[in-house]
Amino acid sequence: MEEKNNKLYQWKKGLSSTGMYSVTIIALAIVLGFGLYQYKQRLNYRQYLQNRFQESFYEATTYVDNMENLFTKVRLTKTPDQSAPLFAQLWREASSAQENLSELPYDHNTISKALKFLSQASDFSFSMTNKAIEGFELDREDWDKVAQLQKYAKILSDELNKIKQEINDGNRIDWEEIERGGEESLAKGNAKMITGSFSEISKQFEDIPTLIYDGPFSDHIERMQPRMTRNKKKISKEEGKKIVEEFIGKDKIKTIKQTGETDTKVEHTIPVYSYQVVLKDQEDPTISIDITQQGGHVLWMLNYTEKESSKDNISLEEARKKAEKFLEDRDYPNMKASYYEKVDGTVVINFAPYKDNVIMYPDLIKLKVSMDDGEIIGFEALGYIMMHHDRKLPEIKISQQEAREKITKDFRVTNVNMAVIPLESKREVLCYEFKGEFDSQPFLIYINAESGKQEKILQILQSKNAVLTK
Amino acid sequence: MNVNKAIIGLLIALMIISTSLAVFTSYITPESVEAASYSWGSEGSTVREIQTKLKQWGYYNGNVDGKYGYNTWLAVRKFQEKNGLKVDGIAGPATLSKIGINTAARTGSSSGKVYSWGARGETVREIQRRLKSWGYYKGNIDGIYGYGTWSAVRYFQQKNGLKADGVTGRATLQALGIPTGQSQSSWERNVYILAAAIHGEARGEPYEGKVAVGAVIMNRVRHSSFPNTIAGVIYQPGAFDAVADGQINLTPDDSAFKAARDALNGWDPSGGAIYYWNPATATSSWIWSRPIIKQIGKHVFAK
Repeated sequence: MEEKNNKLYQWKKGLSSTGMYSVTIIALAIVLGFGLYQYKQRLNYRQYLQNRFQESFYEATTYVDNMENLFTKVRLTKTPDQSAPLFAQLWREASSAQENLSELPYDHNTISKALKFLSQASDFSFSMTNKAIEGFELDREDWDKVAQLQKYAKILSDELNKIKQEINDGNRIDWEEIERGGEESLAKGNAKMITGSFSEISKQFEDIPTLIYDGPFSDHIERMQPRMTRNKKKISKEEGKKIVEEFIGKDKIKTIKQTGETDTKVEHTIPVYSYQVVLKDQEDPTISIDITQQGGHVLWMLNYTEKESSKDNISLEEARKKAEKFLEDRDYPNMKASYYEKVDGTVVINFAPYKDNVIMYPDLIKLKVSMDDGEIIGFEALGYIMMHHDRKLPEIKISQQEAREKITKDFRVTNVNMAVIPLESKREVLCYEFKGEFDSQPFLIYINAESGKQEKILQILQSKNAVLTK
Repeated sequence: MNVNKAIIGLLIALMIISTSLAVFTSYITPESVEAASYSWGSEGSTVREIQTKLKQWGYYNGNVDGKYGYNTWLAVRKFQEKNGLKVDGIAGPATLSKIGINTAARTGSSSGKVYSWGARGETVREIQRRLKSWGYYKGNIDGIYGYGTWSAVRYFQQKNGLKADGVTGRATLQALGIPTGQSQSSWERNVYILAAAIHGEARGEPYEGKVAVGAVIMNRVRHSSFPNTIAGVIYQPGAFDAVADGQINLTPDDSAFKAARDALNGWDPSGGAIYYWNPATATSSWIWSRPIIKQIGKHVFAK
């Protein structure tokens, strides 16, 4: 004990006698100063983040309030020209609300129902804007959908305003806490619980009816049944293996391993068997391939062998011929190449069936060809499997000349085709495809062959390595 | 007494050094400093390319197996010695460009644009952003190439064996991992960010698993309950671990770029999934309520 004291005393004495006190104090002060600086910085960042979240929340609330108001007004309109501007506003307000809400740090489970509602409200309003602009009256079903959307906009608006009221009453929302532990931990830790909450919203939105309309976020998109596989016989894993053999070429394969199979209980997905293939000159698998369980079609294939050289040994024309031959040999007849893009020694070429002088763009197959040796190293047929069938084409009511007159005179037409194109809602329309130039830039313009409506304008992006549309 | 003094002095010095080290390392995480450099334990096509070249030139005698082991390290050292580079056995941007391998983004041809004092715009902003995230730059990301940016670029060039002139040319842009391509198609512009997300999320996964992660991002863009742009989906709060911990700022490798392109072109090994997680590390119990479609590598993919 005494000795210890003695040592401590000695130490202190040592410090004082050599001016070490000041050194220690300065060192400590520096460390403390740095610590404080860091702490201050952290607080600043934290505050900045809180403010960003707060802003997103307030903005989302404003947009949702406006939505509810606008839906009410739409219900008061009678003619398309009255409703069109309101729908256009709704389209924008709902989209902005969705954007702001998706920036909040809620976990996706809590917030997804509200986000989906806003996406659909925006998308539906856009499709109604178009309908109204074309002069069509809204029908009974449309009015029902508007009423339904208004009801849920009101629920969302009420809940958001409850949260806003809490904030105004002095209960700050700690967004950091929400991000870390979800809403529940916030409620547990906070005695003054926030009453209106997103968990409440997602509960209220649980039984929101499905919404079907002419747009990409409509509920019918996910429910679409693949035309090539529905009501087809289910194949066995062994049969699937045979299909892989035939597709890739038996003579090239060393082994095929079946690596997975989709759980058929999962809704809205195409059940497949997955295989991995080891080629003859290889040790490890280099090809992955999925075969549909119904009908046994190849859904996609990827060969990811690392090629040593990245030189182009074949031309684009040769690559296209190889791809065409590949499709023909595998019983995809009359496929026509359209767009392509060459990157890093491979080219991806889009193919669509060409039947009775009509191109069927929805039935898309993509092939990836190696520019090194012309080998087919990728195959993707989701579009084909979802959409391909024998179409009964509608009667053409507009002549080519009439269709041409729908397009501005400044557009110099170089080529005309007939084509079935998919709209964003996956609805298919028969169109005249006018290829031509405007401002010395190539474009495609699609005019509906039944109604004369201009359905789509695509810009063709042409470069040394690609022809693509935008 | 003298011994005591020496010990005390040493202790204080140590304390100062260690605290300042602790403070400074929190600014620069070692992982993010490397702009496309390869070293012990690296794997993949670029390593394979390094080995192929070094073998051709007689520096390397081992197998071209794409694995950066002792022999590769030794060969790179030999190569660096012969070529007047810093001899550390690490294939950084300088070494790679000497070997003749384009680092980082291999998108399209070079535009030959040079950024220097007084330059403005989105690319300058991107340069600042990257330099800042790697700790070279302390100023504001304002898109103006001023003194701060200039000196940060110089510092970066010095560290990476580039000509230290403070001017951002093609080589520096490439070392920074900024695509220098010119005519990019609409989706080509999205390749970089998607590749970065794939690289951050699925670096160690089989190729198919990388494409699947990219496909999940694309599926979310098209899904009504997610943001409707690629950037919106990737940066949605809490959506991806690699964004939360900054791994998205690593320079994506070749394989990530390839996977990103395949995903953008429509290949979807995930079977239409909008969620995935690693069963070994997933913390959310809710996620298990999602219907699982299939497993690829370490990730489970679900609707």
